[in-house]
Amino acid sequence: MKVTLALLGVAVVALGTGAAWLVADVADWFGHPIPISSSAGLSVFRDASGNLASYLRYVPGPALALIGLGVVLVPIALTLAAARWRPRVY
Amino acid sequence: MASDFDPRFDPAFQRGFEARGSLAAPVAPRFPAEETQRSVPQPRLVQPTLDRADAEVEAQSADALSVGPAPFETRGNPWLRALWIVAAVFVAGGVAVQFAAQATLQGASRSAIEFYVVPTVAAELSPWFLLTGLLAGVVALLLNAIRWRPGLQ
Repeated sequence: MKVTLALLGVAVVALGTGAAWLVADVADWFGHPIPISSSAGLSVFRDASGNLASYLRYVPGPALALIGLGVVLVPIALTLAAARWRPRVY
Repeated sequence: MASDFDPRFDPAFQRGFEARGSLAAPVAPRFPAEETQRSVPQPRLVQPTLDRADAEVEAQSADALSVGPAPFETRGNPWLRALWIVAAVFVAGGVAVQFAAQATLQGASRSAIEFYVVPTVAAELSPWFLLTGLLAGVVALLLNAIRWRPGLQ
């Protein structure tokens, strides 16, 4: 039971940290537009203030790997718990 | 009456013995015992002999059977149920995210996040969910298969 809870705890931490990291990463990427150019071959968007802006292609960082680790740990923890579970005898 | 039974065998194990009552008098064999023994080949009873090695192996087997860990239980196992649910949710989520990413790529994007981030993140995350969900389903099925016994479920 302790192993299961530890694994679930690590999974929750990995998922939470990964999600927070991803949001921060995307916010950072979105906060740095590049000037539009007709020769760059990038799509042009209109930002919240109505100005035209362009963005480099988004490259995900280690945040997605952290989320993936959390996703993998959840079934592992559940499998261990299921294999160790015994009906309570009164 | 009593001669209906085959004298070579115990009447208690022959048809019609219960109908006559088990408290009935013992049935006398039709033929003298010596003649029966002469006509019917008697099986030779050989006493099994255990040497020391056999006895040790037998003792070890008995120990292994009695001391080994009790097998896990699948009936009423809440963790196994959770594993099934997680497997279904992960597979469904992975497929849905993949379809959403495809739809975003094909449709008109309104913002840079919708154009760049959503398809990339979905394409990166959906294999994790899909594969993990499938593996969780296989493991749950395996756990059920290991513990399956005829008439248990």
